[in-house]
Amino acid sequence: MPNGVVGSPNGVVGSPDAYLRIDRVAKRFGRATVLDALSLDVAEGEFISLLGPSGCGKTTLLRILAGLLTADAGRVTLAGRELGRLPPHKRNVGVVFQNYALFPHLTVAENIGFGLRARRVPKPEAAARVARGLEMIRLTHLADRPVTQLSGGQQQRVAMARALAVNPALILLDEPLSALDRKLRETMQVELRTLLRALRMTAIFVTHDQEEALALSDRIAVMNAGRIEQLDAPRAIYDRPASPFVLDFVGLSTTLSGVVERVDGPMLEVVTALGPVRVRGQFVRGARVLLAVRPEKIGVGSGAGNVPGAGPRAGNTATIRVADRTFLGRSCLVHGVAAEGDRVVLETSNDMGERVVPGSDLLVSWRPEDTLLFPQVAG
Amino acid sequence: MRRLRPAGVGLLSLPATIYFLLLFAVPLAVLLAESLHDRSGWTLAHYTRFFTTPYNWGVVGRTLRVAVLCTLFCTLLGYPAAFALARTRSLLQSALIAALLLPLSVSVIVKAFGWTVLLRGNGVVNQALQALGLTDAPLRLLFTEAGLLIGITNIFLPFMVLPLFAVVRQLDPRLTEAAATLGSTPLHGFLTVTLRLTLPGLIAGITLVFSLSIAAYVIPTLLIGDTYQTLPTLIATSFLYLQDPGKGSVAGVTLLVLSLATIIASAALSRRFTGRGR
Repeated sequence: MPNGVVGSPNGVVGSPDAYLRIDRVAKRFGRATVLDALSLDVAEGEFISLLGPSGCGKTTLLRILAGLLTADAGRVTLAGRELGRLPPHKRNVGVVFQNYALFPHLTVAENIGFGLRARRVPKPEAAARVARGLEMIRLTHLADRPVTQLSGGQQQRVAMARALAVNPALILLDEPLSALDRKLRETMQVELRTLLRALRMTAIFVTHDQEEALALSDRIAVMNAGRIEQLDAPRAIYDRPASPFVLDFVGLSTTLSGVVERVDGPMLEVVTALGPVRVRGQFVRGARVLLAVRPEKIGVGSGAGNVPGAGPRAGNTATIRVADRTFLGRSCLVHGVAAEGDRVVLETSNDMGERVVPGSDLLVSWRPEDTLLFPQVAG
Repeated sequence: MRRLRPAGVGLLSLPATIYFLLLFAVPLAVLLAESLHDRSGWTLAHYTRFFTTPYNWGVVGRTLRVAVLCTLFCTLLGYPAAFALARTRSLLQSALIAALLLPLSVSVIVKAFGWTVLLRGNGVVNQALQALGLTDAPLRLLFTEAGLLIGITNIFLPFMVLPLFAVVRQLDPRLTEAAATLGSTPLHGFLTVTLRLTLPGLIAGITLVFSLSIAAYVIPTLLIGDTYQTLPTLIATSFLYLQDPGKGSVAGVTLLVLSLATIIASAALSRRFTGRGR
């Protein structure tokens, strides 16, 4: 991970020589605060995803970076240059729009060459760069086609090549794959990542699709209500979500509320609807907490919770009533209900999933280390 | 649906074709014949007489001048107005479109008469100008070219705004943003993207306004009178008062040629600009 910069939510400035620095940028529309003094440092060549639900401010931030919108407060510096109120055409920041925004009156080659013509790049050089762009997206044979005759995936590639042709200092991608069907989207994800990595391009990628963000990013900034909830590598976002919001937004999980019953060194025992649950953490006795377990961490039978060498009492076990099964292809999700109505979801092999009968009781277990712990927020 | 054979298509358009032949093409042919004919037989004498009279050249010049200026003012006022109209929210937009369309349901004669009232020395226009302190004494507007242009621009403006509105509404605002992020200055972006993509609407608007204003008869008659003759008023005077069908028919053919040239040129232009992409 570049620079090891891990921003805590809002306001904390990382390394002093960040390539792109977003410093306490704020934006309000009327009475609604869309960006709340948001700060983010990005290293050169890094691929950062802004992940969040619609209305979290991610697109607003992107438009501010592109110069299409003016921030109310805060500073943005890119490669040592303050962007301030610089108009978009003087920023050298490329944008791939959600609907691609290709010029319908131009051919594929003319679209890719548009920025070069706008910047008065000499014709022979522009032609060479357009040819290279076409090669990069493997559409040389369609150079003279009107863009309106291309398929969605081809249009997406033209939009990428058009933004990259002017060699921008930063590329902003506004949900560029959301208009494609699932299969094509997965292919394009790999293609896009490979392309940007080969060019060592610094990229900011806006998405509400957590799988896309997990698959593509060096780091993910999970956004909520105009703030960054967590900025971390994909693995850390998934394994160690910083807040219940991140936990809920990224991936599935079983959540249980409970009260700390016993403090035993680094281990806590929490009373929940599933019975006592052992978890690593620091809370005082009587504290109200939220527990969560990822579905793939829960196993069928009592053995899955065992920690080697810690004895049979170390794991967490519970009995649930199976409510339903969802066949995912590679694996199977089992949905269960605990005694007091809490819902439990676990991921298991297809063979195991076949054997689980809805309506029957099932003994499940998981390790204390795999239990996530959050303070219970009132209300 | 089964495709019609060419013969079938011909049959379907037969009633309209007959209607046009009888009521439009035949009178036109008569007009054309009249311009090439006098008591002694076929002749070009009417044309020679018409085009060797300097006054008539003045009439042609004034006709073109009014049409060109009216089209220019309509373009300058209508282009931004079409953008404003296309980018406003639904309720206000409906109200504005209604405001634009309602005058079309009023006869041109009524509107031209309305302008004679507004443009009078003590009319609303002069009262407003004086109230704003722009002039001290009432301006002479009625029976001047300025008054004519004010009125004719107002009356034909919807014909510019409506075709433009139709294309501007289809225009994705993100295209201009995309151009800007690619390094286009606002002017370059406007010329290569916005103007280029709205050109079909602009050409349609210019063609409509130009061919309407070049053929306007009632508006110049009421707003400026006989001292400022244009081809349409000259045609009327020739036939109705001077009893000179030769002169009238030559003026008619001249007007027809000018209008046709405009329409053919604009059709060719818009085909060139809509041929690709959309």
